[in-house]
Parts: sequence; C-alpha cells; structure tokens
Amino acid sequence: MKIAVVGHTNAGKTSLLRTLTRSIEFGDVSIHPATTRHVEQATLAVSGHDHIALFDTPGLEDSSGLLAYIEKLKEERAEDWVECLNAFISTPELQSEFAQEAKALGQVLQADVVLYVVDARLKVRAKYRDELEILGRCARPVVPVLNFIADEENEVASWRAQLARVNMHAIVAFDTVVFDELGEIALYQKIATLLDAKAAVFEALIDELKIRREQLKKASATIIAEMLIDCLMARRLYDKDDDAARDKAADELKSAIRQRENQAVSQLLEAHMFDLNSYIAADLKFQHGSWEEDAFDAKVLERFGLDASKAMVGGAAAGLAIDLMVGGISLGAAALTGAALGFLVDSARRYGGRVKEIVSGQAVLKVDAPTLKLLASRETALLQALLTRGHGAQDPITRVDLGESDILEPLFKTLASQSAKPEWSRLNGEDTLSLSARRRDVIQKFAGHVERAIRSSS
Amino acid sequence: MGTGNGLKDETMWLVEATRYLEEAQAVVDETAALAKARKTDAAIEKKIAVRAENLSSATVLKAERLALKRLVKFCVLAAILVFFISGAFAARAGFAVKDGNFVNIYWLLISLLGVHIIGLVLWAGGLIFGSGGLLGHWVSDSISFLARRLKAGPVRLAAVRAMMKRNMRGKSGLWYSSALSHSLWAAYLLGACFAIFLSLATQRYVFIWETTILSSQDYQALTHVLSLLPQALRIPMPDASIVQASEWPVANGALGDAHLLWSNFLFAVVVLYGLLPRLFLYMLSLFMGRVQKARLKLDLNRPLYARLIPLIHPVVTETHIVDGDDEPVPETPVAQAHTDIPAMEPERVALLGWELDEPGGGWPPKGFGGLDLGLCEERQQLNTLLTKAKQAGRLVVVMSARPSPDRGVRAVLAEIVTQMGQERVFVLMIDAPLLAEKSGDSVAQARLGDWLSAAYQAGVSEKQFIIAEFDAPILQNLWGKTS
Repeated sequence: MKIAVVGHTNAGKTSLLRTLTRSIEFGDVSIHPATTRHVEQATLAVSGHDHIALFDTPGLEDSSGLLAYIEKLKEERAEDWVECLNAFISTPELQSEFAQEAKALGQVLQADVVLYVVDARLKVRAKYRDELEILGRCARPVVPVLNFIADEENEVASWRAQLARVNMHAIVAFDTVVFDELGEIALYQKIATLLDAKAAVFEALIDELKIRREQLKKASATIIAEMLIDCLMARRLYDKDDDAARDKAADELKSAIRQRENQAVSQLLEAHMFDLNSYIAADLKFQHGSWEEDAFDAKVLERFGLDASKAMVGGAAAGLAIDLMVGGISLGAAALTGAALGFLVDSARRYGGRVKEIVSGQAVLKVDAPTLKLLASRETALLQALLTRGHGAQDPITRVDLGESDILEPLFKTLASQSAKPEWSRLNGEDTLSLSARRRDVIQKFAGHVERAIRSSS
Repeated sequence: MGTGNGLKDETMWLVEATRYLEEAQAVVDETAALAKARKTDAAIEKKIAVRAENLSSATVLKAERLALKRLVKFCVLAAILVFFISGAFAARAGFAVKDGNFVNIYWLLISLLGVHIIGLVLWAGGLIFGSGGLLGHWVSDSISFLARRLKAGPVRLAAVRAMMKRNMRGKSGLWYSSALSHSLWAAYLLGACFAIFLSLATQRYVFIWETTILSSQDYQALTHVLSLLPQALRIPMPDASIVQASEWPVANGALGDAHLLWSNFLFAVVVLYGLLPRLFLYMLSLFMGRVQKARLKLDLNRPLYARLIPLIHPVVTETHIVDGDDEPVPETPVAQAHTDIPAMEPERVALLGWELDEPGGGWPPKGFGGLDLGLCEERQQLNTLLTKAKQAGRLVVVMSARPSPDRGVRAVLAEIVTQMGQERVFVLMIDAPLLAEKSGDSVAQARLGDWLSAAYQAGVSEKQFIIAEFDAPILQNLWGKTS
C-alpha cells in the first residue's frame, strides 16, 4: 500500500507527513524552497492489516520546463505518455536538470494513490496547471490536499474550480499547521473511496485514530485534573509569629506549584508528541498577598473537641487534630482499624512534648482560588492548542490562558466546593499520599469538566 | 488463570505495580524495554506488559509480590484461626448451664447464628442495592494507609497498591472481600461446631427452652419450620410433643431420647443454616472474584500510558530515506532593502510582472510611463514579450515575495538575462511588508534572501535587485523617462 505525497516546492508536503504521522522530527521543514531533496518513507502500522507506506518527495519546482521537456522527449521517442515517463524516471541521462522532479514522479508512478499538496494561499498559476497536467499523464488516482486553509485569505474556491476542470473532485481541505481531526478522517475516507479494494485498511486506520484521539483527550484531561488536585490540596506549615518562616513556607509552596505545573506541561507535550520547544510558557504569576492562612487557633481546635488552653491536651490527640487539618492521614478508614493505633503512636512521637506550642503557634499556607483558576485556565488552553496543532507547525504555542472565557466555570465551582483533603496531594509528600477511591472520583470529576470545556470549544 | 486480554494475573499485577511505582517516582525510560515492547506485534496492553516485564524494576516488584502473598496468606490463616477459636468460645459460652446441665437451646442458637444472619442480610443487601464493596474499599484504604504509615518505601507501596487495586477494589474487590468475610464466618461456625461436638460428646445436657411472652405453639411452629430441611435429609428431629415437654421449668429431660433429637437439631441448624451457606457463598465469591479479576483491563486513559503509547505503539513504525540526494543545500544570503537607487540614464524602460496578481493600485503602477509588457505567468509567452522588451534600454521584472522562488522562476530569470543582457535586467521585489505582516519578519527576511540568491544565480547583481513597494519614491529613478 503506497501513497506518494507530491506538490510544488514549499506547499507543505513534509508538514503533511509530520502531521499525519504525529512526528515533529520527520524530514526537514523550512521556509526555504526545495528543503526536501530526497524521497523519505514513513510506515503507518494498522493492526491486522497491510502497512501503509507514505513517501515524501522533493517538490516539483519547474513543472512548466518539465512539461515542455517531456513533450519534446515523447515526440523524439515516439512513445506514449506512460512509456515516456517510465523511461524518464529510470534513465538518469534523460533527466537533464529535472532530477528532482524525476524522483517525485518515480514515486507517483509506483504509488497506489497520490496526495497532491497545494498551498491554498497562493493563486492558481500556469505552473500549477502544468503540474496537474503531468500528474494527469501519470494515470494514478490523485487526492488533492488543500493546505494552509486556516489562513483567511485563501484561494480555495479557485483551486476547487481548477481541480474540477482536470477531473479531480475528491478534494480534501486539511491544514498541516492547524490540525482538524475530522479533516484527517476525511482525507483517509477520500483515499478509501478511490481505492475500493483497500478501503478496509483505511477504515481500520480511521477507527484506530478515533480511539487514540479519545484516549488522548481523556488522559490529557486527567493530567490537568491530577495537577489541580495536587495544587488544591497542597499545604505548608509555619510558625505563626515568624515572618521569615512564613516567607520560606510561601516560597516553598510556590516553587512546588510551579514544578507541578511544569510537570503537567511536559506530560501534555509528551502525550501529544510535541517537544518542549513547541510551547513557550509565561511565568506563573501568583496573586500577591492572597495566600490564605488558616491559624491553628483555639476555635479551630474546639471543633475537634480539644481545648488548647489546658495543659491536659494529650500529645496524641492534638497531633491527631493537626494531622486532620494539615493532612497526612485518612482518618475515615484508619480510625476504625488497628492502623489508628500506629497513627496515634506516630503522632505522639511527632508532636508530643511541644504540643501546646504547636497548637497555638502554627499556621498553614495553601494555594488561593485565583491561582488555582489560573492554573486550570492555562493548562486547558494549552490542551486546546495542542489538540488543534498539526505536527507540521513551526511556530511555538504562546497563548497563555483562556482569559474571559466561561467554559471553565463548572470546573471552578467544583474546585471551590471541594473540602480539604491534604492527604490527596502528592506535593505534601508521597508517604502521606492516599490514593483512595474518593480521590479518584474527584479527579475524574475535574477531568470530566476539563473534557467538556475542550469539547464545547472545539 | 487466563484473562480477557490473554495476560496472566501475575503480569497484570506487575503492570499495575509498575504504574504505581512510576507515578510515585520519576518514569524510568529504559530503552531496551521500550524497544522490546515496540517490536512486539500485539495489542497495546500486551506491549505495555512486555515493557513492564523487561524493566529492571520487574525483579524487585516480583519478589515483593511473593513476600506480600506470603504475608497475606499468613494474615488470612491467622484471622481464620482467631475466628475459629472465637466461634468455639461463643458456643461454649452458649452452653451456660442452668441448674445442673440444662441448656437453653434457642438462646444458644441465637448467640451462634444471630450476628451471622444479620451479616448475611447486610451482605446480600449491599450486593443487591449496589453499596457493596465497602468492605473491600475499607480493607484497601486501611492497608494502604498502614503501609504508608510504616514507611513502606516506594517499591513495597506500589506492590501493596497494585494488590489492593486488583483484589479489593471494584467488582473483583466486591467478590474477593465477600469471599474473605464468608471464609471468616465459616471458620467461626466451624469453631462453634467443634465446641458443640466436644461439649455434647463429653457432657450430658438437657435441652430446654423458656419464654415470658411467647406461647408453646410459637416454639412448636418455629421448631417445625427449622426441622423441614433436616427432615428432608432424613435426620430425625424433635416433634411437637418433645418441644412441649422441653419447656422450662416443666421439662425434666427424662422424655425418651429427647436429648439426642435436640442434639441433632442443634447440629443440623448450625451446619445447614450457618456453615454450609457460608462455605457455598465463599466458593461462589471466590469464583466470581476470579471471573471479575480476569475482566479487569488496563485504564489506557491514565496519563502515564498516554505518554507511553506513542513510544511503544507509534502511529509511524519506521521512517527511512529511499532515494537520497547528495547535493549540498546552498547557503541563503541576507537581502538588504535598497534605500536608494542611483540616478540612471534616462532611457526607455520596459516593465513585466511575472506570476503576479494585478496590484491594488492597478497595472501598470502609477508613475510608470515606459513600455508596459503586462502581467505574465506562461513560458510560451515569454519569448514574444522579450522580443518587445529589446526595444527598451532596460527591463524591470516585478515579482512577489509571497511565494518562494522555485527552479521554474530561476529558469525564467536566466532566460531573461540571456536574452536581454546582464546589465539591462532589474528585479523589483514587492509584497515583502505584506509577507512580514502575515508570517513575521524572520520569514520575510529569509524569503527575500532566497529570492536574492535566485536572482544572483541567474546573473542579476545585487545592485539590480530592488526591494520596494510601488509607491516608494525611489522607484522614480528606476522608471526612467516617460515616453
């Protein structure tokens, strides 16, 4: 199963291959003409079917010259078109200055189907008509692919008219920079209609691409949801009267949040098969002075049945209250088991002796709501950008967040209504992390909101 | 035991444990394991399993699994022993004697089977109304909690989590935790039977019952109902007259072989309504647990797999160059826009637009008064136009910077230079600001460089390569004299 990708120089043939193969490393792409000077093969594996080989070819640079040359050659040799073309591609001496075109035509003549890539921003010119003339003479099925259609000033209408004139009606509009999943499916469907006998391969490929796309969306939403739960539940303790300790705790928390966001970014980029050069992230700006402080004052402790003013506060019991608020445990299950015993001993060891001081002198830092919203908004925006980014794209993503868009409102509401569960955050330490079913449910809820936001905007 | 995706239980466990380990620690990309997985021609789950098997963490995780299994077996056996002994003690306590060797038969049965029946109803309720699996979650959370508290270390923690995930969570967890609870109850009831047997074998009891609010008929009816199943199994049961004769304080225990019939009754009720149902449910739950566990699939929506799948199951399996080219790619020079065009001899100028749309200001551009050759993009016309152009002193070829210069354009320029003579040809590049606006300055710069090098190769010198828009005043020098 061979597909040749041909077109004028700089029409985006290699970009099309990159986008179809999800590979930012395939071939060389530049704005200079004739960047691809060789034929390069990429093999698409479709489970249970024949492989599909895609061939990237050098651009057809001088089609008018080539057409005139081959017409002359044909007259001299008194052959028909296909014979003449076959002689041309297989005899280097006959190729004159058209060696590059000979490489491309060589692939065309061997291919089951030809993708003819067009830069739809450019007018239909005589040289493109000559390309179509030559392709027509090769007698292979051709699917024209209109590239760069996301550009507002495009010539799609005149291209369609011209292509119809040479009997090419199965046209696909597919931008290699601005990815469109339906466009990709349409591309394979058009190929399948031209190659009736091999339609099953493309149907299987389309199914596989759909499944993968769904998995990718869900996994990406989960990446964002896990980042959010880690940041939402992150806590840092400090001595209430010590400003230096407060600043240190704040810095620690901020750097933990930044690292966690970067981790989510690289996970997203990796899952979507882009590299770190594809995204230029703006620094995460924390809202100044809006970090919330929960003091461990007597009132808070009272709710847990403790009286901080009395010396009789037991070490273990106070530790229990602190752990409950600061995180580190899942009391719900643990208190009912012998595990609670181990916990009590542990708490007593950690807090015993200094209990009173700790209870009256500690404060806790957590991430404020605006920062969380910003995190959610930035990563959802990145995910949106990645889902509509072709692997042929060259310019990095720079959009930072969703701004005034209210598609994330349901997520923000859910975030705000979530009760504190410090033991759910990886940022509070792996050995206190609880992977309870409840945590998983909440992550799924967050991920569901992110997914809906993505779908509603696409 | 085979599973739905053809992977063994141990393998699936290893995959889960590896995931937990990698989610807790940084992901280890061992290229050998990745390569092996990629080469495996199978579905994604199998490929993930191949990778997990070939990671260096597989050995420690597998060892950890064996240790854990031993620990679990030990704990379960210990629990079974504890429940067996508890059952035995509960039965002994039920034989609390009343004035000699009298045993209240119904009190004994309630103390042995009461909690068991309540538990059974709760279990069935959970199963029917869907709140089942609570025990499994509880066990799972508690054990994971304990492991964390005991500072288990990442490998052991991952092993514990994987074991809990596969055996105590979800549908498989529902059935396995059921199996656990049924087995413990079976042990409890077995212990009870054992104690009853020992008691009855070594002591002489008189079975009685007593009541404050119920009647003798109630007890006769209850005994009759409970006796139906044992009687169907041809086990002799106490009849109504024996029930009536056993009421305290009337009973004297001397009524024939009443003590033997009551012993039968006691055993039959504990075994048929306690032990056997629990054993049956234990085996059923174990079977269902295995079925459900075999149906467990990897959650391919996990972020970890999202990054792994492209690596081990890529869309493109391989790429290679099939028809190479050794020609070096030429360097692109930097094109500078002209700010000035030196005054030239006032002679007649011919103007040709090559592959150009009619500009916004119309064609020919304002201020041009020489020989207009028009817009052209076809090679066949070129010769005719050049013949005309020869009447003029010089030819200005206008080209757009928006497309990149291809070899066709180079050939056209070369042809023009050959026919007109090097000195007489000027190239005017327009649309550079438009390109810069659309694609950025760097793209525009690079594109102009490409055009300059194309013009240079065709024999047009840098001085004759002019970058300007039609409204630029400097063009007046280029347009020459008006005819």
